[in-house]
Amino acid sequence: MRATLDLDRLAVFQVFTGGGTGSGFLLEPRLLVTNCHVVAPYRRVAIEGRDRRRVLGTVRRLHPKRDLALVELAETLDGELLSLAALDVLRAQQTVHIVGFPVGLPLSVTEGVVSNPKQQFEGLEYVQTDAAINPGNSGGPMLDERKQIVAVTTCKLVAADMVGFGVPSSAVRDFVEGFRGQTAPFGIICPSCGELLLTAARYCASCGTDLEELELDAHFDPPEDDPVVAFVEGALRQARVDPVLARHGTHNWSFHSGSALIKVWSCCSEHLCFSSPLVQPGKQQLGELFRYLLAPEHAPFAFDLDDDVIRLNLTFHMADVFGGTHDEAAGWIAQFVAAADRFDNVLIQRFGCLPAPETQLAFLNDQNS
Amino acid sequence: MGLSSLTYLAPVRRFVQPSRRDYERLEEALALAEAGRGADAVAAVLAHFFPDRALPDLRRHAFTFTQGSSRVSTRIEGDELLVVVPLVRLPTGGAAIAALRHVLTNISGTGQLHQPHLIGDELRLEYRDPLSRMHPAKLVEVLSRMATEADSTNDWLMGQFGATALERAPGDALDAIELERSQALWQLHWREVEALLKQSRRQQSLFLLNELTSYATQRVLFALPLIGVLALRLAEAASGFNDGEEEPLKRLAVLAKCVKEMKAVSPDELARCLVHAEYAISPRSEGTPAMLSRFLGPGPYREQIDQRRGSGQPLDATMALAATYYHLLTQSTWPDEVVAALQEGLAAASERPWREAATILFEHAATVVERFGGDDDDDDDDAEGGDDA
Repeated sequence: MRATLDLDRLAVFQVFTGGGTGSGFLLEPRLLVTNCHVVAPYRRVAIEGRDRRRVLGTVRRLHPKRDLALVELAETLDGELLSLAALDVLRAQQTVHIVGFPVGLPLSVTEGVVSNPKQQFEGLEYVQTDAAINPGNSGGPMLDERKQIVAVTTCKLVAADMVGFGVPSSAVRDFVEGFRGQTAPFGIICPSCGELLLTAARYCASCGTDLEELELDAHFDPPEDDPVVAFVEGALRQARVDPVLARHGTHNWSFHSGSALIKVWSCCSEHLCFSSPLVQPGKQQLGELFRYLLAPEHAPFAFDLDDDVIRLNLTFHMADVFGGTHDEAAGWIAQFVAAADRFDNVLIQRFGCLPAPETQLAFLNDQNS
Repeated sequence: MGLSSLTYLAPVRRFVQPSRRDYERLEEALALAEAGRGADAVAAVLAHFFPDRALPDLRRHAFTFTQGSSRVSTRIEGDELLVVVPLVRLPTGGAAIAALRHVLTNISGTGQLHQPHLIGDELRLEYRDPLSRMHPAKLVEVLSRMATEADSTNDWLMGQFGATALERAPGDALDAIELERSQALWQLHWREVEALLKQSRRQQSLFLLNELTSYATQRVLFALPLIGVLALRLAEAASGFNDGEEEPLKRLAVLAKCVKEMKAVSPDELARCLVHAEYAISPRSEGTPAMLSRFLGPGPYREQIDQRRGSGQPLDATMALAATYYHLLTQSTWPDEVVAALQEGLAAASERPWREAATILFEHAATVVERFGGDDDDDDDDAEGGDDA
């Protein structure tokens, strides 16, 4: 029987880390399944609800070999929980839906068929599909027509057309059931023997596999933040913004300050940019508005027009990041966060501006610029 | 009838060697900045760019230099470093709103340390930073980038919106002979490009289109000291017809429109946009031996050219080599002997049939690399993307 997919209700959410974004889905009100490569090496990640509210997620289990991860949410998010399909129900040419956040766009669904329900690839069994899979879909569910999870979307072949793979529901079930029977707050499944590893060690105590060779040590002991991350996240803490919840990929952050969205990114390896899309110009008082925006009194902040959206900007040179004036710069960032929340109201009330439409595409453009 | 050869005409533009820079003073600036001596670090950066000029006390007098049509002034106000380039006085009426919208859309922005500011009706580019945050890299960027941007911005604001200049540096006017040569070169160039455009449409070759669109701009910029609204209109059109990600048919259409407009430019209009401008800081990068080897030496590009040369496509091969020569001469500064050698190659191939011209330039390129080329100094990693979804 074919079930209706109501995207707005599905408990499928976007996962944000300092390395990128991916997808994930809830099996329980506070237990999210995603890919290991979406969250690792981060131990704390952000999960965004449909209302754009972000909640903190703590990574509890990693299964590097099967590319699975379990994340415990600090708070519940509204959404219809999905269930895993029964074993061996998939057949070739059966319709499947890929649900997730391709290239960071809002929740989307693509449709295809099962190309092979038990495809062997690099020594493991996968569900192969011809449905479109893009970066950002990782960790999202592959659903059958009854809206049951038949696989967790994990990768595609870049050298071929329409060859995507998902981790079968049977592997997900084993992983989740194993976790339910354990009490350790964090652990990694040994890629060789499947035992739970609780601490960093050179060799697996059960099977003797060299774990450093598999680069699992980074999962236990994540690398230190680079200077750009340390600078931005230190400044965000001073501005009372949780940096984990603000992470939006490598050297990218996004968060709200009151009504204003603030984006942070590094560009050209020379600049660190803070920008807040505030409002659109109205139809009256344009001359006065533009003169106000170009007044020197706003320095070190500056306004610009980006696709007819007025943005408040603050740009740092990397010399500020690597130099010895962190505290002063952090003070500017705190002022910027406060100013962004204030200026949208000023521009609306004083010049008749209109609220800016919020779009994820604008963020992609910023990241690519 | 199609074009049977390219014509080389000696440039009207003056090839001025970039002023010497004192890199020891730049290192000194870094040490001074790290020691918290911001004002001394500013002076050392200026001495790096202008080793032959005496520097005033920046707290009392501004240090100024000319960059094209712009005058850049650097001074210290209280505890702040201030770099300013006056741009224009706004026009009156609706044109002022259009000009301000243009400034907010195209000149303000992220990823730059300088920003436009409006004081009364006077628009200027400005960089202001506490001396306590002084770092040579910031001032080097501001002096190089802001000054060059100001040079093109004020021309656009004046040409498009009727703004009036503020402290505009006049530059040296062309003499009558130079103007006459410029007119001849301008008309010849656009006639050639028009004929090659027809050829490109017939051949439907992306390779030829890429080389032609490069040639269309680089040859003009090589030959003429073009400034002002014409230079900006050409740059605007070039951003369309040089866009490799755009549909070839659209690129051809943009180039055709550009050719039509440029052919229609009157002698007076052209003359107003020709000036031997002075650039205290060269807006061109410094050419290196490795760059010559990359563009003209052994490698996939030269192989492609050779393959076309040997398979009945000498027009494509000639255009590729000529466009590359002009690109090198336009985008970078070179020692006099390299400039002379590249011009000799173009002159040798001038008005020779395509097959002959292709062979002359192909062999000439090899001698240029042999004489002036060098090892690669800039390895680019073209990493392939992973396959995670």
